[in-house]
Amino acid sequence: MRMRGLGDAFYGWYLVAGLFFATLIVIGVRQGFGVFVVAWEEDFGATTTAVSFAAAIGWVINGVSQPFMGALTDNFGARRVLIFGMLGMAISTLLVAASTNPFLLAVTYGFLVSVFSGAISFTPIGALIARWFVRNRGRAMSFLTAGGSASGLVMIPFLAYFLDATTWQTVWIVLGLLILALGLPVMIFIVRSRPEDMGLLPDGDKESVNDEGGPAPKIEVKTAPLAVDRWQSSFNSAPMWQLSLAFVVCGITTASISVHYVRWATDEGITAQTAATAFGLLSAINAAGVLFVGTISDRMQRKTLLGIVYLIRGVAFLSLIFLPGAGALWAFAIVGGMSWLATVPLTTALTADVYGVKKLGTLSGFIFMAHQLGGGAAVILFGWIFDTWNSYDPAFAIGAITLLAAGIISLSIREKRYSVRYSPVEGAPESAARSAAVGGGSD
Amino acid sequence: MRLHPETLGHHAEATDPTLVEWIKDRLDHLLGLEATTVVIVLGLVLVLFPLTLIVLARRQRRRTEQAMAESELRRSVESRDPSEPAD
Repeated sequence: MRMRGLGDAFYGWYLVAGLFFATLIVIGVRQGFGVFVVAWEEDFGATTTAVSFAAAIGWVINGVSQPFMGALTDNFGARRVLIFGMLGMAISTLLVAASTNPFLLAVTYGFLVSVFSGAISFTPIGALIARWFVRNRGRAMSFLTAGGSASGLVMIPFLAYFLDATTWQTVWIVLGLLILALGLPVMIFIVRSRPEDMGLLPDGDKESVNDEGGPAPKIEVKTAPLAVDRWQSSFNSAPMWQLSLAFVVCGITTASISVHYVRWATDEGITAQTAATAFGLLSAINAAGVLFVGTISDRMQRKTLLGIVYLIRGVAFLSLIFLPGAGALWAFAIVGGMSWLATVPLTTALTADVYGVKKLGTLSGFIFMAHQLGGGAAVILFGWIFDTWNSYDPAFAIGAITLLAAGIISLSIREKRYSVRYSPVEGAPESAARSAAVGGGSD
Repeated sequence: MRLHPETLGHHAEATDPTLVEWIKDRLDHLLGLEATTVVIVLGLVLVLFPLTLIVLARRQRRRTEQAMAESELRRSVESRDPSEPAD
């Protein structure tokens, strides 16, 4: 028998709120780079390319660091990794303020900030949340992902206006102190690696009682149909490849739009005012979309939603080809916004459902690395296409085709066979199967 | 071939500086607030949110521990053999 958790609200939701704040701050620091580019160019007497080199290597380093951060999470627990990452973020953010040339910026931001932000990315956080939530896994992960969206709405304006009021060095020092004084205590005082550390069960369930009235056997949350003891083993099964390949397409389509958005809008004759408003709309719809998708993913097959999300994004890419300038922009903001970050909670939650939580950090790390590397390659490819044909249409067509492929790949995942929600294994939490019972469809 | 390593927001990529300018101009037009005012308002949100959260989470943890202790006590009382004389 299961009952509601002890106390008024399950402690896991406080954990989600704390990690939402961590995500907001850390992604804000990463995204905020663009706010300072002009100031750095003037201060360092450097070109945009020289300054942007730090962001470019940061992208690659952040991607490559993900599997390592995931492995650290699996071996030492998410709490230690998050505390270590937050402390490192604080120090490296303070060091950015001391940069005096593009090379030092590449070291402090491109290397240090990028590595430590990998320790507070969705890789360790997803692994942590998967241990705390089984029945509400999708919803909890979607709240965290929404922290990334909120970062664009809160942190970017904060940094831009702060830079207006003071110097860039002061802004980075304040950021570092903010992380040290608030981000670090949130990790120390709120985050616990497993609900068992507090005598709790996932989702706030109360301990089962057996027929004789004694406590039921201890529940092992790590159990899943394809649970692995070594991360390498996961690559012998189809879902790992299916999830990774689809997520590469996520990286291709989001990173390319991110980099080429301004140039495309300028080329289409869209005003700065319209482009900025459309971007704000995309961010807002994105936050709402990710919360909606994450929540309903706990009630139906996640692969179905994942496939739909990729196909919806494919429609958004087609609108960029077939609709005229401003019409394409608004269609993309609305349709694309619904799918922008929604892949993150679905992919992480499905990975946990299929492979369990024991090696989830490492597995998520590889999947996120694939996303980053795919994105980096697409940015170069889209730029080459534009320079060759003086049009983004062929690039958007590639985006639409790859999204169609990602949709099909996602829909082909045999979730009913491989997910703990549909194929409970001995020792797995019964709440997982119960939550999936409301979902229908077939593989 | 030109590369454009400056990027805008997805997951953790850096925002395009041109887009930042566009967004800021739009916000200036919509809000018409001094930079200091925006910084203070958003800064307060950034400070108060984690502080409130830490207080609430600690209170919840105490409640959870208390409820668990009571539950443990109740279980030990219920499992006691009724034929045993009370102390």
